[in-house]
Amino acid sequence: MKNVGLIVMSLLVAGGFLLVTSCGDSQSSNDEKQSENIEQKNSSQQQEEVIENNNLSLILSSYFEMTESLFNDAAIDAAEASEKLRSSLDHFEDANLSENELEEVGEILESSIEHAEHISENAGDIHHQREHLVLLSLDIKDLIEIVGSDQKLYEAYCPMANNDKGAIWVTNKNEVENPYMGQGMPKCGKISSEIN
Amino acid sequence: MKPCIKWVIFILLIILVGIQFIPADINKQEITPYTDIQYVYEVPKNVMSTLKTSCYDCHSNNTTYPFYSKIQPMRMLMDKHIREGKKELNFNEFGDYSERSKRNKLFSIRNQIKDDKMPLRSYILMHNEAKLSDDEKQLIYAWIANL
Repeated sequence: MKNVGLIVMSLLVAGGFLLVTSCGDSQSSNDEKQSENIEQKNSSQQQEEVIENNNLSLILSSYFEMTESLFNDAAIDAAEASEKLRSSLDHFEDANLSENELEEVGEILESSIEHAEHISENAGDIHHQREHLVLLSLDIKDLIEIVGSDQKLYEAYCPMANNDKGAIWVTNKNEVENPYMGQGMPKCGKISSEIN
Repeated sequence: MKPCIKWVIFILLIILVGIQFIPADINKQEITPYTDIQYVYEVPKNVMSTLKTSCYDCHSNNTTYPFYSKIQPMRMLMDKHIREGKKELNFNEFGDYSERSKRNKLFSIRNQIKDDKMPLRSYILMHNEAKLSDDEKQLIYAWIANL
Protein backbone atom coordinates (compact mmCIF):
# COMPACT_ATOMS: atom_id res chain seq x y z
CA MET A 1 0.00 0.00 0.00
CA LYS A 2 2.82 2.37 0.98
CA ASN A 3 4.61 1.68 -2.32
CA VAL A 4 1.47 2.34 -4.38
CA GLY A 5 0.98 5.63 -2.56
CA LEU A 6 4.56 6.69 -3.31
CA ILE A 7 4.20 5.79 -6.99
CA VAL A 8 0.94 7.74 -7.34
CA MET A 9 2.47 10.76 -5.56
CA SER A 10 5.54 10.79 -7.81
CA LEU A 11 3.36 10.43 -10.92
CA LEU A 12 1.26 13.41 -9.80
CA VAL A 13 4.37 15.47 -9.14
CA ALA A 14 5.89 14.54 -12.50
CA GLY A 15 2.59 15.31 -14.25
CA GLY A 16 2.31 18.65 -12.47
CA PHE A 17 5.90 19.51 -13.35
CA LEU A 18 5.32 18.71 -17.01
CA LEU A 19 2.15 20.84 -17.06
CA VAL A 20 3.90 23.85 -15.55
CA THR A 21 6.96 23.65 -17.81
CA SER A 22 4.89 23.12 -20.96
CA CYS A 23 2.75 26.14 -20.06
CA GLY A 24 5.94 28.10 -19.45
CA ASP A 25 7.40 27.02 -22.78
CA SER A 26 4.40 28.21 -24.82
CA GLN A 27 4.50 31.54 -23.00
CA SER A 28 8.18 32.17 -23.77
CA SER A 29 7.86 30.98 -27.38
CA ASN A 30 4.93 33.42 -27.78
CA ASP A 31 7.19 36.25 -26.57
CA GLU A 32 9.93 35.08 -28.93
CA LYS A 33 7.46 35.02 -31.83
CA GLN A 34 6.29 38.55 -31.02
CA SER A 35 9.80 40.01 -31.02
CA GLU A 36 10.53 38.09 -34.22
CA ASN A 37 7.48 39.64 -35.86
CA ILE A 38 8.56 43.14 -34.79
CA GLU A 39 12.04 42.49 -36.19
CA GLN A 40 10.54 41.21 -39.43
CA LYS A 41 8.34 44.28 -39.77
CA ASN A 42 11.31 46.63 -39.24
CA SER A 43 13.51 44.90 -41.81
CA SER A 44 10.61 44.67 -44.25
CA GLN A 45 10.14 48.44 -44.07
CA GLN A 46 13.82 48.91 -44.93
CA GLN A 47 13.89 46.41 -47.77
CA GLU A 48 10.29 46.44 -48.97
CA GLU A 49 10.80 45.31 -52.53
CA VAL A 50 13.40 42.69 -51.75
CA ILE A 51 11.24 41.04 -49.10
CA GLU A 52 8.14 41.22 -51.29
CA ASN A 53 9.91 39.54 -54.19
CA ASN A 54 11.48 37.00 -51.90
CA ASN A 55 8.07 36.13 -50.49
CA LEU A 56 6.50 35.54 -53.89
CA SER A 57 9.69 33.94 -55.19
CA LEU A 58 9.54 31.37 -52.40
CA ILE A 59 5.92 30.62 -53.22
CA LEU A 60 6.68 30.31 -56.91
CA SER A 61 9.77 28.14 -56.48
CA SER A 62 7.91 25.61 -54.34
CA TYR A 63 4.95 25.72 -56.74
CA PHE A 64 7.30 24.99 -59.67
CA GLU A 65 8.94 22.19 -57.69
CA MET A 66 5.50 20.71 -57.12
CA THR A 67 4.37 20.95 -60.76
CA GLU A 68 7.66 19.44 -61.89
CA SER A 69 7.10 16.48 -59.54
CA LEU A 70 3.60 15.99 -60.92
CA PHE A 71 5.04 16.18 -64.44
CA ASN A 72 7.34 13.33 -63.38
CA ASP A 73 4.43 11.41 -61.83
CA ALA A 74 6.22 11.69 -58.50
CA ALA A 75 3.32 12.09 -56.07
CA ILE A 76 5.42 11.85 -52.92
CA ASP A 77 7.82 14.55 -54.12
CA ALA A 78 4.81 16.67 -55.07
CA ALA A 79 3.41 16.23 -51.56
CA GLU A 80 6.71 17.36 -50.01
CA ALA A 81 7.02 20.36 -52.31
CA SER A 82 3.43 21.26 -51.52
CA GLU A 83 4.22 21.30 -47.81
CA LYS A 84 6.92 23.90 -48.56
CA LEU A 85 4.41 25.78 -50.67
CA ARG A 86 1.89 25.80 -47.84
CA SER A 87 4.52 27.15 -45.49
CA SER A 88 5.62 29.93 -47.85
CA LEU A 89 2.00 30.92 -48.47
CA ASP A 90 1.47 31.06 -44.71
CA HIS A 91 4.44 33.41 -44.30
CA PHE A 92 3.59 35.68 -47.20
CA GLU A 93 3.76 39.39 -46.41
CA ASP A 94 3.47 42.42 -48.62
CA ALA A 95 3.65 45.94 -47.22
CA ASN A 96 2.81 47.58 -50.55
CA LEU A 97 -0.78 46.43 -50.99
CA SER A 98 -3.85 48.64 -50.82
CA GLU A 99 -6.70 47.66 -48.53
CA ASN A 100 -8.71 46.09 -51.35
CA GLU A 101 -5.68 44.22 -52.62
CA LEU A 102 -4.93 42.97 -49.11
CA GLU A 103 -8.43 41.57 -48.80
CA GLU A 104 -8.22 39.83 -52.16
CA VAL A 105 -4.73 38.49 -51.43
CA GLY A 106 -5.98 37.23 -48.07
CA GLU A 107 -8.69 35.23 -49.81
CA ILE A 108 -6.21 33.93 -52.41
CA LEU A 109 -3.82 32.79 -49.69
CA GLU A 110 -6.59 31.11 -47.70
CA SER A 111 -7.74 29.25 -50.80
CA SER A 112 -4.29 28.24 -52.04
CA ILE A 113 -3.25 27.03 -48.59
CA GLU A 114 -6.25 24.70 -48.62
CA HIS A 115 -5.24 23.32 -52.01
CA ALA A 116 -1.60 22.97 -50.96
CA GLU A 117 -2.72 21.05 -47.87
CA HIS A 118 -4.80 18.66 -49.93
CA ILE A 119 -1.88 18.03 -52.24
CA SER A 120 0.56 17.41 -49.40
CA GLU A 121 -1.91 15.12 -47.61
CA ASN A 122 -2.49 12.93 -50.66
CA ALA A 123 0.87 11.49 -51.57
CA GLY A 124 -0.92 8.26 -52.41
CA ASP A 125 -3.45 9.79 -54.80
CA ILE A 126 -1.90 11.72 -57.67
CA HIS A 127 -5.32 12.06 -59.29
CA HIS A 128 -6.57 14.02 -56.28
CA GLN A 129 -3.40 16.11 -56.24
CA ARG A 130 -3.96 17.04 -59.88
CA GLU A 131 -7.58 17.96 -59.16
CA HIS A 132 -6.40 20.53 -56.65
CA LEU A 133 -3.69 21.81 -58.98
CA VAL A 134 -6.46 23.09 -61.26
CA LEU A 135 -7.73 25.65 -58.77
CA LEU A 136 -4.38 26.23 -57.08
CA SER A 137 -2.96 27.38 -60.41
CA LEU A 138 -5.80 29.88 -60.82
CA ASP A 139 -5.07 31.21 -57.33
CA ILE A 140 -1.33 31.50 -58.00
CA LYS A 141 -1.99 33.32 -61.28
CA ASP A 142 -4.33 35.76 -59.50
CA LEU A 143 -1.70 36.32 -56.81
CA ILE A 144 0.99 37.11 -59.37
CA GLU A 145 -1.30 39.56 -61.15
CA ILE A 146 -1.86 41.53 -57.95
CA VAL A 147 1.60 41.34 -56.38
CA GLY A 148 3.75 41.37 -59.53
CA SER A 149 6.97 39.49 -60.15
CA ASP A 150 10.43 40.05 -61.62
CA GLN A 151 10.51 36.61 -63.21
CA LYS A 152 9.21 35.99 -66.72
CA LEU A 153 6.12 33.85 -66.23
CA TYR A 154 3.83 32.02 -68.62
CA GLU A 155 0.41 30.51 -68.49
CA ALA A 156 0.16 27.06 -70.01
CA TYR A 157 -3.08 25.31 -70.95
CA CYS A 158 -4.06 21.66 -71.20
CA PRO A 159 -7.45 21.01 -72.85
CA MET A 160 -7.77 17.45 -71.50
CA ALA A 161 -7.16 18.19 -67.84
CA ASN A 162 -10.00 18.60 -65.33
CA ASN A 163 -12.28 16.01 -66.92
CA ASP A 164 -11.72 17.43 -70.43
CA LYS A 165 -12.87 20.87 -69.31
CA GLY A 166 -9.31 22.19 -69.55
CA ALA A 167 -6.96 23.62 -66.96
CA ILE A 168 -4.03 26.01 -66.74
CA TRP A 169 -0.78 26.00 -64.86
CA VAL A 170 1.91 28.63 -64.31
CA THR A 171 5.45 28.07 -65.53
CA ASN A 172 8.70 30.00 -65.82
CA LYS A 173 9.79 27.99 -68.85
CA ASN A 174 8.57 28.73 -72.35
CA GLU A 175 7.86 25.06 -72.95
CA VAL A 176 5.17 22.56 -72.11
CA GLU A 177 5.85 20.09 -69.29
CA ASN A 178 2.34 18.95 -68.48
CA PRO A 179 1.81 18.30 -64.74
CA TYR A 180 -1.76 17.04 -65.32
CA MET A 181 -0.88 14.31 -67.80
CA GLY A 182 2.61 13.57 -66.52
CA GLN A 183 4.86 11.21 -68.45
CA GLY A 184 1.87 9.67 -70.21
CA MET A 185 1.42 12.80 -72.32
CA PRO A 186 4.23 15.16 -71.32
CA LYS A 187 3.92 17.63 -74.19
CA CYS A 188 0.12 17.87 -74.26
CA GLY A 189 -1.03 21.48 -74.22
CA LYS A 190 0.45 24.83 -75.17
CA ILE A 191 1.84 28.03 -73.73
CA SER A 192 -1.27 30.17 -73.98
CA SER A 193 -0.03 33.54 -72.76
CA GLU A 194 2.54 35.52 -70.86
CA ILE A 195 1.48 36.53 -67.37
CA ASN A 196 3.91 39.44 -67.04
CA MET B 1 -12.23 -22.28 -19.30
CA LYS B 2 -8.58 -21.56 -18.64
CA PRO B 3 -8.17 -18.92 -15.90
CA CYS B 4 -5.92 -16.92 -18.29
CA ILE B 5 -8.70 -16.55 -20.86
CA LYS B 6 -11.15 -15.58 -18.11
CA TRP B 7 -8.89 -12.66 -17.24
CA VAL B 8 -8.62 -11.50 -20.86
CA ILE B 9 -12.39 -11.51 -21.28
CA PHE B 10 -12.78 -9.72 -17.96
CA ILE B 11 -10.36 -6.97 -19.02
CA LEU B 12 -12.01 -6.62 -22.45
CA LEU B 13 -15.38 -6.22 -20.77
CA ILE B 14 -13.98 -3.54 -18.48
CA ILE B 15 -12.55 -1.67 -21.48
CA LEU B 16 -15.83 -2.02 -23.36
CA VAL B 17 -17.80 -0.63 -20.45
CA GLY B 18 -15.14 1.99 -19.74
CA ILE B 19 -15.18 3.51 -23.23
CA GLN B 20 -18.93 4.04 -22.97
CA PHE B 21 -18.08 6.93 -20.66
CA ILE B 22 -16.04 8.78 -23.29
CA PRO B 23 -17.93 12.06 -23.83
CA ALA B 24 -19.74 12.32 -27.15
CA ASP B 25 -20.04 15.41 -29.37
CA ILE B 26 -23.57 16.59 -30.03
CA ASN B 27 -24.06 17.95 -33.54
CA LYS B 28 -27.57 19.33 -33.34
CA GLN B 29 -29.11 22.53 -34.64
CA GLU B 30 -32.87 22.56 -35.15
CA ILE B 31 -33.03 25.80 -37.15
CA THR B 32 -31.63 26.04 -40.69
CA PRO B 33 -29.39 29.12 -40.67
CA TYR B 34 -29.69 31.80 -43.37
CA THR B 35 -26.17 30.88 -44.49
CA ASP B 36 -27.34 27.45 -45.65
CA ILE B 37 -26.61 26.71 -49.30
CA GLN B 38 -30.33 26.74 -50.23
CA TYR B 39 -30.38 30.46 -49.40
CA VAL B 40 -27.19 31.15 -51.34
CA TYR B 41 -28.18 29.49 -54.61
CA GLU B 42 -31.35 28.22 -56.25
CA VAL B 43 -31.34 24.55 -55.34
CA PRO B 44 -33.93 22.32 -57.07
CA LYS B 45 -36.03 20.30 -54.63
CA ASN B 46 -34.68 16.94 -55.72
CA VAL B 47 -31.06 18.08 -55.48
CA MET B 48 -31.69 19.52 -52.01
CA SER B 49 -33.31 16.29 -50.90
CA THR B 50 -30.31 14.30 -52.18
CA LEU B 51 -27.86 16.59 -50.41
CA LYS B 52 -29.78 16.25 -47.15
CA THR B 53 -30.02 12.46 -47.39
CA SER B 54 -26.48 11.75 -48.57
CA CYS B 55 -24.39 14.60 -47.22
CA TYR B 56 -25.89 16.61 -44.39
CA ASP B 57 -25.19 14.16 -41.55
CA CYS B 58 -21.47 14.92 -41.74
CA HIS B 59 -21.47 18.21 -43.63
CA SER B 60 -23.89 20.32 -41.59
CA ASN B 61 -24.56 21.40 -38.02
CA ASN B 62 -27.40 18.93 -37.68
CA THR B 63 -26.81 15.18 -37.59
CA THR B 64 -29.55 12.59 -37.41
CA TYR B 65 -28.14 10.11 -34.94
CA PRO B 66 -29.11 6.44 -35.41
CA PHE B 67 -29.71 4.12 -32.44
CA TYR B 68 -26.22 2.65 -32.48
CA SER B 69 -24.72 6.12 -32.13
CA LYS B 70 -25.24 5.82 -28.39
CA ILE B 71 -22.62 3.07 -28.21
CA GLN B 72 -18.87 3.41 -28.23
CA PRO B 73 -16.69 2.93 -30.23
CA MET B 74 -19.27 3.69 -32.98
CA ARG B 75 -19.93 7.14 -31.55
CA MET B 76 -16.21 8.03 -31.58
CA LEU B 77 -15.87 7.11 -35.23
CA MET B 78 -19.03 9.01 -36.08
CA ASP B 79 -17.86 12.11 -34.21
CA LYS B 80 -14.56 11.97 -36.10
CA HIS B 81 -16.36 11.78 -39.45
CA ILE B 82 -18.61 14.70 -38.51
CA ARG B 83 -15.74 16.81 -37.20
CA GLU B 84 -13.62 16.25 -40.30
CA GLY B 85 -16.58 16.54 -42.63
CA LYS B 86 -17.64 19.92 -41.27
CA LYS B 87 -14.08 21.18 -41.43
CA GLU B 88 -13.89 20.36 -45.14
CA LEU B 89 -17.40 21.50 -46.06
CA ASN B 90 -20.39 22.74 -44.10
CA PHE B 91 -23.56 23.28 -46.16
CA ASN B 92 -25.14 25.23 -43.29
CA GLU B 93 -22.33 27.79 -43.40
CA PHE B 94 -21.95 28.04 -47.16
CA GLY B 95 -22.99 31.68 -47.19
CA ASP B 96 -20.02 32.55 -44.99
CA TYR B 97 -17.47 31.24 -47.46
CA SER B 98 -15.61 33.75 -49.67
CA GLU B 99 -16.48 33.60 -53.39
CA ARG B 100 -13.21 31.86 -54.04
CA SER B 101 -13.92 29.33 -51.31
CA LYS B 102 -17.44 28.68 -52.66
CA ARG B 103 -15.85 27.95 -56.03
CA ASN B 104 -13.44 25.53 -54.34
CA LYS B 105 -16.18 23.70 -52.46
CA LEU B 106 -18.44 23.25 -55.50
CA PHE B 107 -15.48 21.97 -57.48
CA SER B 108 -14.62 19.47 -54.74
CA ILE B 109 -18.24 18.34 -54.34
CA ARG B 110 -18.38 17.48 -58.02
CA ASN B 111 -15.01 15.70 -58.05
CA GLN B 112 -15.55 13.74 -54.85
CA ILE B 113 -18.90 12.45 -56.06
CA LYS B 114 -17.54 11.65 -59.49
CA ASP B 115 -14.57 9.77 -57.98
CA ASP B 116 -16.99 7.85 -55.69
CA LYS B 117 -15.05 9.10 -52.68
CA MET B 118 -18.20 10.66 -51.25
CA PRO B 119 -20.45 9.67 -49.57
CA LEU B 120 -18.02 7.54 -47.53
CA ARG B 121 -18.32 3.84 -48.17
CA SER B 122 -18.69 3.14 -44.45
CA TYR B 123 -21.53 5.66 -44.28
CA ILE B 124 -23.34 4.07 -47.23
CA LEU B 125 -22.95 0.68 -45.54
CA MET B 126 -25.03 1.90 -42.61
CA HIS B 127 -27.27 4.21 -44.67
CA ASN B 128 -28.13 2.51 -47.89
CA GLU B 129 -30.50 5.31 -48.91
CA ALA B 130 -27.50 7.68 -49.01
CA LYS B 131 -25.91 5.90 -51.94
CA LEU B 132 -25.97 8.19 -54.98
CA SER B 133 -27.55 6.75 -58.11
CA ASP B 134 -26.17 7.78 -61.49
CA ASP B 135 -29.26 9.96 -62.01
CA GLU B 136 -28.74 11.73 -58.71
CA LYS B 137 -25.11 12.35 -59.59
CA GLN B 138 -26.05 13.78 -62.99
CA LEU B 139 -28.58 16.09 -61.34
CA ILE B 140 -25.92 17.42 -59.00
CA TYR B 141 -23.39 17.92 -61.83
CA ALA B 142 -25.99 19.79 -63.87
CA TRP B 143 -26.98 21.96 -60.93
CA ILE B 144 -23.37 22.90 -60.19
CA ALA B 145 -22.62 23.56 -63.87
CA ASN B 146 -25.51 26.03 -64.04
CA LEU B 147 -24.45 28.06 -61.00
